[in-house]
Amino acid sequence: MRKRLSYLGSVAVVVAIALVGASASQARSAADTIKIGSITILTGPSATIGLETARGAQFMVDYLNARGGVLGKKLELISADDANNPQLAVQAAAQLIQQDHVVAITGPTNSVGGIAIQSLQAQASVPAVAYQSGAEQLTATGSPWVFRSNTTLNHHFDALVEYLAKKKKVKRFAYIGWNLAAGQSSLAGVQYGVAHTKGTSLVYQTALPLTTQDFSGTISQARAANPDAVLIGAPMPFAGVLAKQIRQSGWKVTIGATGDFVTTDFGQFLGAAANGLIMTDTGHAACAEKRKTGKAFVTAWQKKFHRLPGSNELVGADAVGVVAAAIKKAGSTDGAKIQAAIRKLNYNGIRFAARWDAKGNLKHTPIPAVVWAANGTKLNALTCDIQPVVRAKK
Amino acid sequence: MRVGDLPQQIVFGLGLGAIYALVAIGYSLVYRTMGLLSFVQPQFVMLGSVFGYTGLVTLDLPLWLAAVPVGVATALVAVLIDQVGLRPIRRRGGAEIAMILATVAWGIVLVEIVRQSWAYGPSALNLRSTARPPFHLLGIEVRWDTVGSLATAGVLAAGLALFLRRTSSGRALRAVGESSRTASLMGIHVERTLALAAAISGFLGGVAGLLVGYLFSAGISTGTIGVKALAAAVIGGFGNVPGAVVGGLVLGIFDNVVAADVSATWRDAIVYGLIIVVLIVRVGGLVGRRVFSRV
Repeated sequence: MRKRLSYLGSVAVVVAIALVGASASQARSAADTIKIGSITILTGPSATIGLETARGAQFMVDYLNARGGVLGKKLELISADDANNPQLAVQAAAQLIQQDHVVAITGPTNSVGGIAIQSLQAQASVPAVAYQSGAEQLTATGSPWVFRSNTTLNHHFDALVEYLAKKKKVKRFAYIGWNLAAGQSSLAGVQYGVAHTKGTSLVYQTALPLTTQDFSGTISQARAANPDAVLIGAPMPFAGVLAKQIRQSGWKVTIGATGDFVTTDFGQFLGAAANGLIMTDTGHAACAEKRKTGKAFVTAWQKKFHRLPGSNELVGADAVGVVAAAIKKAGSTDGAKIQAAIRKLNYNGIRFAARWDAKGNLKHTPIPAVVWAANGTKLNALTCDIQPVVRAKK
Repeated sequence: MRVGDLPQQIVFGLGLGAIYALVAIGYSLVYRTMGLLSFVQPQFVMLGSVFGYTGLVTLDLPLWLAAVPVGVATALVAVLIDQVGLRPIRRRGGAEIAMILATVAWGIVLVEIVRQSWAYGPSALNLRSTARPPFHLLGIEVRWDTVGSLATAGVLAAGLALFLRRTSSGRALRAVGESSRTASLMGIHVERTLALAAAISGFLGGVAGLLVGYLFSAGISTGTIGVKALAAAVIGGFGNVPGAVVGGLVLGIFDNVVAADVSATWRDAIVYGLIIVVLIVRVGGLVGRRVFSRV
């Protein structure tokens, strides 16, 4: 009996040592890395935008780690999926903050998800640098923990109206968009652009559910209003199906959209019908290459992927870049200090140099205008910086 | 509302209505034979759309030639789900709610399988790039897509009606729909008949999905059209096959007229409000005599 107890005791000691060892190893691992959480759309119909963004964010982490990391430590990106669902965004944020103990979050992609996680961020003092999130509402809540890495959809559409009016002589605009916050923000931009661009008018507007598939009636009514251009304010598949049905109805109207909503799958979906479609975008490799930091990044990217990075990949990379730069400036991984550092940051990014206002909005962001070509396989830059009326007035 | 525009919107609505009708027939047939409200039915539309991608894009088949293999492939999946996923519950005398939940679960499983990158992936897929120009009839624009959808739905609905009335298998389906116990005493193999009902509903859902993919887009989000077709089945009289056709066309027209002439934003609320009105005013639907109990 005593021999058996002695045996059990030995086993207990070995297990205890192993547990302590494992715990120490975990602690060492935690101390050696700085954890950043990423929340984006990795599943569902809009997953392409999230997968591209996550790829860019992870590459930026590897890129920075290869250059020594930040504060002498390696960065670690913990990626979570919100499937474009605000409830899942909250679950993802809770796990990243409470279990993974991330120091900051990049994302979510959708503004609705970004708004949903704000109270969790405030409780834990964890700042977030949003990905594409273009709706005004994201920063209108007044949360001090949220920062954009893109200009708003309002500005995108405002700029697009002005660009099409000047370069394509478009006078009469129609707008067909999504009936949620992002669509409202887009419509507000179109309305502002039309109100402040001489000789233009908004002759048709409608907001539809994202699940809409048959646009026959809408197209017929928009066409009856005789616009020179139709602006689409919605993500895939809405945007692709609408553009396809416009073309298949035989209507050769100019079509405009924004890369904040649609991505490579827009071009793939439309094929030849994509040719000539004009968009604003959240970034473009050709424009990034005009900047020193952008050129170095694009060169490293091409070495790994043998192609140029897409706009969403650049967005993901810049969001991580902002967090890394803020940690470096703060000299700390404390969430509150990182947040304070972003407010004072002069970020020398891949796509642009940026500063933030008190609400977490970017003070200036160049907006590239791009055009689809080669049957939806190429997105060529028309110009690297179009500025919306709303900004020019300030 | 612009009254002059109404005939045009009605014609546009017929195309989508024909698709709703095909899916609604599937709902009704399964309900008539199995007494089951099947929530896997919308995902047969989704499957038909992606199988359509394989047929039209990967194999480069013409639409008319792709319809049969796409329908058959979807029918096979429907039978597999019925035999593997639902039959064991039936045999154990599982409650109706258990069967309904099982169909919900199968619907999710199908979407997740299709979503995988080794299957079709999460993005919307395009089955064609060009369309034949529309023609005009009495000043109304008519698309060939609308004509094709109506013709397909008409042929399949008429074929099904003939099958149900003129063939022994069809009569067996109707007999099981009346009473599976009596049908069994008459020597009808009930399980085989239920599998046939699943196959037909899968075939119709698959062909509807092919049309959805061809007209709009294919992929994991196309099941939403199948969900809306449930409203068509209710409007027509749940469990009533001819009623499903009427319900589909009525829903298609109403859906389009509301979106174009009333309010695009309130479209779904108004359309589903129609179901509530129909159920209150005429509980058996526009065509049906009884509802929510097997005839």
